[in-house]
Amino acid sequence: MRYSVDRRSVLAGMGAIGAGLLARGAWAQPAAPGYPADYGAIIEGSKAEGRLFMYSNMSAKSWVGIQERFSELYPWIEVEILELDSSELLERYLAEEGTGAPTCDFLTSGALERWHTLMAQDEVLHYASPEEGNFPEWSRPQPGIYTIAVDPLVTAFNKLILPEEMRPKSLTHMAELATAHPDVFDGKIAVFGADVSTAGFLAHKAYTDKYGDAAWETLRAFGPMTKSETSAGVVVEKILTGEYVAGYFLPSGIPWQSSKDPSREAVIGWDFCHDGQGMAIRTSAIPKAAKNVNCAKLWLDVTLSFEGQKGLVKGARTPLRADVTQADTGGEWTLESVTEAVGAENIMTPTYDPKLFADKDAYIARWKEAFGRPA
Amino acid sequence: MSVETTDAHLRVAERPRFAPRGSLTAGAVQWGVLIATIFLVFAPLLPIIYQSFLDKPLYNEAAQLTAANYTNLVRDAELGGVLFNTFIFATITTVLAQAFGAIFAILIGRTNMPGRGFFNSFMLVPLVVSTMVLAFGWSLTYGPSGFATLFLKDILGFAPWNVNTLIGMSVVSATTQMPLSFLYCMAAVVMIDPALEDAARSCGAKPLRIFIRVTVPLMFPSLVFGTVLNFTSSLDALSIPIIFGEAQGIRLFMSFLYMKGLGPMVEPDYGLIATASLLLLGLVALLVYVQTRILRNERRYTTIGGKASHTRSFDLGRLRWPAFMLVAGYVVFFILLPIGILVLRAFTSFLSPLVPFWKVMTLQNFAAIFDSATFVRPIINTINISFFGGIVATLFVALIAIVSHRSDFRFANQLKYIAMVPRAIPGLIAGIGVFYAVVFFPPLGALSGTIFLMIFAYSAQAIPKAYGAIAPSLLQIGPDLDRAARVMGSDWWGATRGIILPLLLPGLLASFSLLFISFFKEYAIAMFLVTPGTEVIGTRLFQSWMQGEMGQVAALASVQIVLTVFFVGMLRLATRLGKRASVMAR
Repeated sequence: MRYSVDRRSVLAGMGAIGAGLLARGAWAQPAAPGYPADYGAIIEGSKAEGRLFMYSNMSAKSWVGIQERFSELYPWIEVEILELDSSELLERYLAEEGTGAPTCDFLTSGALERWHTLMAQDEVLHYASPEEGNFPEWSRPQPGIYTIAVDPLVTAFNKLILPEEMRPKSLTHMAELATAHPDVFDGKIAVFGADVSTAGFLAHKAYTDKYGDAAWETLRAFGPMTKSETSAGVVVEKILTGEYVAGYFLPSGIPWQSSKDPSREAVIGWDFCHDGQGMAIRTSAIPKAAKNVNCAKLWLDVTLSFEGQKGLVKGARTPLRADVTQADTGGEWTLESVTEAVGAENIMTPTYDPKLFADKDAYIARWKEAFGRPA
Repeated sequence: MSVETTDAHLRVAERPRFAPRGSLTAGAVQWGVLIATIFLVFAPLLPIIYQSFLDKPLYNEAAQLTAANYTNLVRDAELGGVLFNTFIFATITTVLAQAFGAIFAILIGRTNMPGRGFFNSFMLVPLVVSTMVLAFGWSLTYGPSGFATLFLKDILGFAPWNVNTLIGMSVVSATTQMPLSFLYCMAAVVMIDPALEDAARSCGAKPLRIFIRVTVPLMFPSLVFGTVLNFTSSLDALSIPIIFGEAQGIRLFMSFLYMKGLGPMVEPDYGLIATASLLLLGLVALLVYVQTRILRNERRYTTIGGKASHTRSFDLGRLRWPAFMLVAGYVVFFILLPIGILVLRAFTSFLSPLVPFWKVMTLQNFAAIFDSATFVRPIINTINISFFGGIVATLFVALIAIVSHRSDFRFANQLKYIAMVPRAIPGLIAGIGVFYAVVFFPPLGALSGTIFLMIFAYSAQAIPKAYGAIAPSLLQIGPDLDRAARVMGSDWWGATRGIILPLLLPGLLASFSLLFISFFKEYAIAMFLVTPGTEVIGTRLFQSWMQGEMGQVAALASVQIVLTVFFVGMLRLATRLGKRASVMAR
């Protein structure tokens, strides 16, 4: 019912364009030059399928902007999003694919390490999106695999407890503050720990790779005062109650949404991490076992399209497509504006290099030692 | 003593008199129950056993047979500490839950304490709310920055407790499990034959003495069932250790498994999951064995005779009001406050001692839920699964209990053991087991992607729970009654349908209530089985919680609470009607 108006207008448009255009199949993507001539076949195929099943560690709420655009273009496709944990969902796909059980048509997950397994086993459909030229080389590690969003890992803090000068601007600043005021910070800093979170692991690793021994010195200063968490929502709740005074390397979605709620905004604030801005990447692909392949292709293309990337900000996600600027998103952050804010030299975007995980265990052991965690 | 002799005598005398047709029906029912139970129980279990001997995931064609999983398990550096923590946690939880459950059941069920009916409904409240959500309520109330904690910290100058410890977690867990003990004890105390107490009274015994020497011993089967069930459910606890313990580095068995096998940052080790599950299975099998040894002589607990009678209340005298205070204090601080804070959370944009809550009131969380199919559909699915699954599983388990306790079936005893097996399988693992079973047993494949698969998995997992609710009631029905029916020419199946099932109605309703409620809040089993379109409230809550959407978690939990209060009201009505029907049948 919610989309009935859109559907009607699309149907009306369809009537106006007429059957001749329909046969050429170009009518549904009027604003998308560069799409192949046979794209209409995918659209036609999607009509027979009519459904799209998706496993995603990005919540349905985060997809809302893309879903709106998608329903506008392809109102006949019903989209079902099953929200699962990032590595669990890839594992689940592998299990279903292995057992021949029914599975999904589209995967979205931030579990980089598990993606390497899928890539190694060649589990992904090599679909070349007509939109791919608009995305940087690094974001497309293998045919069919696309980075759809890059979320900064931000610092959040309780404004009622921490006065202006005690809100950490960077990790070195955090180290100074924690050393000077252990009474305020000890046990009250939350972190996406390298031992429990892929994003946390990659961000800490990028930071220590960047600054070497100095970075370890910094981390050692406040590490033992931190506690590991795996959900930004949990951290934000606990910052609001005062259980934590600050948290760092937190995916930006929930802190940003909080800053839009005036009552929350009075208590919680956020900042970039100005000496090393960690980034979390979201990766999507169509698995080989997908049944509704055409619907999945359309969804991927909409997600990567200009309008789709613009729509990401409605779900507090950060577009990475270079031609989407803050002017397009109504002032919401984009990869470009984040880079500008912290300086390109401080952006720490992970790559799809499997070497990042090569010495994982040794790194985590060292991290645990620095952070005073039991081995 | 003489009962034993007559019984043996009767059995011998009876057997040749069975009509061939009757015994054919009996045999068909009994064999049918055995085969169905074996399938339900072992279909999820066999893939797990098989997995424990494979070096790669079961579905991987390159997987080779190996025993390495077992040696790895033994060598695991962390496991010793985890087992120790888990043992402490389960022991404290069980002792507290059993003590509270039994005391409250007696006070509410059999004394003249004021406000009994009122408290009766509140006792079951923690049972109906998902443990995960209760834990969230506890954390908001008694956590390091909880309302109650900070309130007392202001007065005392220090925080009087810390929930984020092993003992704190055990207390939270005990309050979530207390209703289990309460339900079992309640079923027992309400059904005690007052003639036994009257006999003591007519011999001049004082109420306290009657209580200690007659009533408590008669509750024994319920206490034993409750203890074993509580202990094993504590071994299964996943959400409490993850919410309270994980950030403090306190790991229990299931959070260990979850983090090792399904947690982030690790290559899932199915071999470890499988062997560790089998270790748990072994431990629990041992417990069940001990339990059956203790309850070997079932007839000692027979309390419903052939004569109708009316139970009487103990007079607490001057202790009436202190007892009232005890129960009221528990209800207010351990049940109402955490849930109240949780509901309050649902109506606010956030909750913080730093900001007065009335400044952040909102309906936004509920609007978000009812606006979205991702929340509404799970609610509908959950109601369907709980209602139909509850009925099917209760009736089936009633048959299991009757066949294993009240028939000459050759494998009656084995059936009883088989029925207990699912207790040892953690919900998460059972879900994975059923997930694989779908592939191994093609007929199950037809259920895939529908809520019937959930019903199948939930029911298999619920057999011991339902059994625990039904068996004690069954033990209290004197065998004279079905024997009487058989003397009158009825066969086993006729006596079962005509005499035992109607008399068992209170037990059946207790079982249905228990299953309905536990299906309503289940999430662990469903985790691996949900497909787009078959989500349940539990998995939805877990996902929203993982994403940190606390407002929506609280709102959905509130909706769940309201729905459950409604259903519990209906169930209580049904129970009252059922009891009347069973009294009439008697």
